[in-house]
Amino acid sequence: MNRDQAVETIFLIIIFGSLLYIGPGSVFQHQLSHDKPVQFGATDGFLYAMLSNYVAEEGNFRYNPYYSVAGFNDSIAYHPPMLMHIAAGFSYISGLNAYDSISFIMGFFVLFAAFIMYWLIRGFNKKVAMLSSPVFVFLYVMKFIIGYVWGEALLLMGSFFLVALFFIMSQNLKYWWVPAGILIAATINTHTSETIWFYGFAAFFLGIKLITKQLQKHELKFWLKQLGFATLLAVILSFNYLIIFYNGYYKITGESYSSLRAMSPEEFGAIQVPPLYDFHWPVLLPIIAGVILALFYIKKNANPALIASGFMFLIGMTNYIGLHYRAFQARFLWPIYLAVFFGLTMYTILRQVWKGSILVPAIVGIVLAGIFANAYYAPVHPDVIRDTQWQAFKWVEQNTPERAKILFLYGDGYSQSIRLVKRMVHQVDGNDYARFLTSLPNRTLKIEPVMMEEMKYIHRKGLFDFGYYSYEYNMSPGFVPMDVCGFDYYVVDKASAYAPQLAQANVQLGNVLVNHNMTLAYQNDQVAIIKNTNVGGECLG
Amino acid sequence: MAELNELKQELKWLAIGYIILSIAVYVAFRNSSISEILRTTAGIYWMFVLPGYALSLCSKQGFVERLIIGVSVQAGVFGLGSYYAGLLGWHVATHAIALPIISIIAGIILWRRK
Repeated sequence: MNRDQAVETIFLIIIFGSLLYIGPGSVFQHQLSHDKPVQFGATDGFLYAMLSNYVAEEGNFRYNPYYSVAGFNDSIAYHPPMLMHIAAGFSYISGLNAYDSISFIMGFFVLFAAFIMYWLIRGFNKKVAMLSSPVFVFLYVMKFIIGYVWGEALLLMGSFFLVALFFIMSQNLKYWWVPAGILIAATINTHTSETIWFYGFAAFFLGIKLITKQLQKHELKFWLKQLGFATLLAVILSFNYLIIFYNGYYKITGESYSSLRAMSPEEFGAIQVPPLYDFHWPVLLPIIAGVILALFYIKKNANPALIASGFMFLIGMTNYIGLHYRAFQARFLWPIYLAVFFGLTMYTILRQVWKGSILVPAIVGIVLAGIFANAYYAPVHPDVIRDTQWQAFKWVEQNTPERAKILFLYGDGYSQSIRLVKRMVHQVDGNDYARFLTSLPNRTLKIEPVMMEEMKYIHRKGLFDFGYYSYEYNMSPGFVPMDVCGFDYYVVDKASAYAPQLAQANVQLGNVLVNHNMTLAYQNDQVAIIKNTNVGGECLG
Repeated sequence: MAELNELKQELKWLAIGYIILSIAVYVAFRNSSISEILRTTAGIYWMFVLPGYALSLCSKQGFVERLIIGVSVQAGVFGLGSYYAGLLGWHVATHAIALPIISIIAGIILWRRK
């Protein structure tokens, strides 16, 4: 190993070791294994944790767990299956719980994607790569980290495969289509948007090379042939999931794929997605300057790192022309995609004063990473579920019949976390709660079954023939008026940090229930669970 | 023979990589036990790195380039393989043991044929 290699190795260990520490390490509270999921702050994270756990227990991802699809045993799994399988497999080999496993895998592969981008930029210029790396810190800065802690697991894993595809476009391989086909199939089976981004990138890349006369006719022919074979392989490998995707996501939510509807300002505000200025001016200005510099470089050298970064920058802005949330999702990975532009500007500046070894860019890169972390980074520990709530979840799973219907009265974080409970859980509408309590003994309250309802409880009748239980049984989604006395168990939070008046209402309702044919089955400091001994009978007065 | 020497050298690098990864994970997850750390990093190596490296042996790229392509492809191969194996009735519990072995054997066969 020569001196430059040693410097680069030490540089990479410091940069990526630090990223591991401030990113997954911090979100995990510097502990690999937990008694309860602490990494997630939103419903998507809990959903994928629940599905990974289901795959680990059930052994496959043919169907959705019955408790998440209104009790149907044969409602097929419609989420892209790969990540849940990887997380389940890793859970067995590492000994981690499925929820720790999926979060670790997510964090690890995002870092690996950053490393791949580093190596891709390095193919353009090693010093630019080193000076790009400090921007990776923003992966763990608000609001970019939301993609991680809100549990955009499929997006993050799909983006990893996308970055790997960018990398492979830079490689001269004899059978290029084989790894490319596998990676395209991986995006299809992880997060299908990234498949579309890849083909967009491939067209963009070849188009720019053609326009700038950096692509000969025979080279174009080679790429088209390789892409054709890769696509064929990807379709074969993804055959089953593509059929499910077409009959699920495409048929049910296809409009959102085919109609261009720009994001309204209200929607823009409601979704916590990073705007460009979340990079802050000291980073944003060099990025903008780097984009301009890249335009000059591309004329002579259409490097995949520059083209891919430019393309993903544009994808992140397509919310203005109607790509809606898919555009925003790409922004969570902007610290990886846009890093090269920052590096290009810093390299151009540094070159004016230093043209020697890589030691100086390495030191500058580490110092800048330290400055950014110090200025903009704040540790994030979602830890939504309280210990007492988790104990109640476990009690429900271990002490109630499998098909029990459970009603969760208001509880902090329940709108996000209760989908982890392996029972048919329901939540009350907090907005309807006050009306309900003043109209007792009226038994009707707006309640929502916490189900994966978006694909209408899709089920398979044949290889290409699908049905939808939602339509067949005329089931309504969302909060609907239900009989409060029709549940087997009631989970009552007695205290709340965010809505103490709702917790008080819980206690009031809990007392009414216990006084009418119900028994207190379990309680801890915060949560009480009440058993209904006369389901459907009088329970309120 | 030159190839064998190269292989030995690369395996040495992989071993050093494992030690560095374990130390990095140990620092980042400092509240975990040593056995948790070693098992987790061994899991990463067993599921992705070693099979990915084996699958990439038949390619002529540099070591790191091969490792990047190999690990990425192996993540895809494992995910897809595990999904279909599950659909065929093979419980996921043993996939993380068996599927990497298949990838390693396939990689070695492809390398030897080359």
